[in-house]
Amino acid sequence: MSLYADSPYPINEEIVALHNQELQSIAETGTWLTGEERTAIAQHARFARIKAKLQEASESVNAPDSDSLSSALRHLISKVAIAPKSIDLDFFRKSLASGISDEEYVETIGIVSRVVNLDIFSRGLGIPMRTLPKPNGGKPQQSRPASAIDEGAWVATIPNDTRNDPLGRQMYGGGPQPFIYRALSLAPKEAKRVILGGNAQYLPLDKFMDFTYSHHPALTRSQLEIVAGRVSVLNQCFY
Amino acid sequence: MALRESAKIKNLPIQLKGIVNPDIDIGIPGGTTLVKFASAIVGMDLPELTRARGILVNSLGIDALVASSVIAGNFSRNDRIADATGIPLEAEFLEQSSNFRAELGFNDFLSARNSLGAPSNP
Repeated sequence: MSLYADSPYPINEEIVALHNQELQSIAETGTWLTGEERTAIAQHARFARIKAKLQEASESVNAPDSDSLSSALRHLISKVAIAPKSIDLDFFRKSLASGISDEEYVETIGIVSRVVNLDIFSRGLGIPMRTLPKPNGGKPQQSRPASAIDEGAWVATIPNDTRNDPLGRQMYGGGPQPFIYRALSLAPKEAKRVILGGNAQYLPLDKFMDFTYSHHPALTRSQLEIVAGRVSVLNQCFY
Repeated sequence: MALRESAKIKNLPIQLKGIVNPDIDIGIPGGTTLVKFASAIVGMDLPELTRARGILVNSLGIDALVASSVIAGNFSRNDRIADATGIPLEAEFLEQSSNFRAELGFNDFLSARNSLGAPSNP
């Protein structure tokens, strides 16, 4: 059965396929975290948003196993899920000081951000959050990308020059990527998901400067940018 | 930036302030409806979201509702990643947005420090 079979509104196959992959990827072993940890992170993010009345409760959402996550990680998850506009450098430093590694921090940001993406989409259509698959049992490689450097963000990132970096080439597909698509590259699987998501949900990157192009024919580019801009203003996102 | 440029190509005079103040008409067809829906989808008022959804469907159609939900989800993700990793805005976009950022209040966002640096004490 299609992921959105219960939607009263038809959803194009590109989005259905992407969201299926997104859900599956959350439950899979990450670069730094296990599938169990990643699923627990997503569940905690969902419950934090339900508690904050930013998302409606659903029978399809399992209660999070609070014991499986440290209190520092739970705090990070809630902050990103509910109030990203209040995050600053001091919060980042305190997160690391509380025992979260920079790699775990990045992977957690990716999971929370992606599950919020899916849940806000469902909320827009008035349908319940989608059920997360059962986590797989693999072991994360926990291998830090050797090419990650300080490019001006709080976290190290893999730069666009990937001539001598097969991992970077594989992730970025050979072309330069904006900072938003490199931000999670300490957790390459997360960064790759963000790029794929942006290309399908917003527009293919090579179309960004074509201001007559809209990846969603029901909206003009200007209309689409109104939605994007308003959401970002409410999140107080300068980027 | 993309909103301004996409309107300019179609010779549509727009009021960017409509992005920060829903009472101001941006000047794009359906703009007010889209601002209200975007506000509601990330807000706490479920009846307001239901109202905004209905207005959007009636005025722009069901595909526009789906597209708006896709975009709202995508940028909710991007905003969280950007705000939580402290990435600075690319220099070219920083320059291109300089003439409207202050007016719209963007420079006052906490996350502006990642691109502009921390404000100096008076």
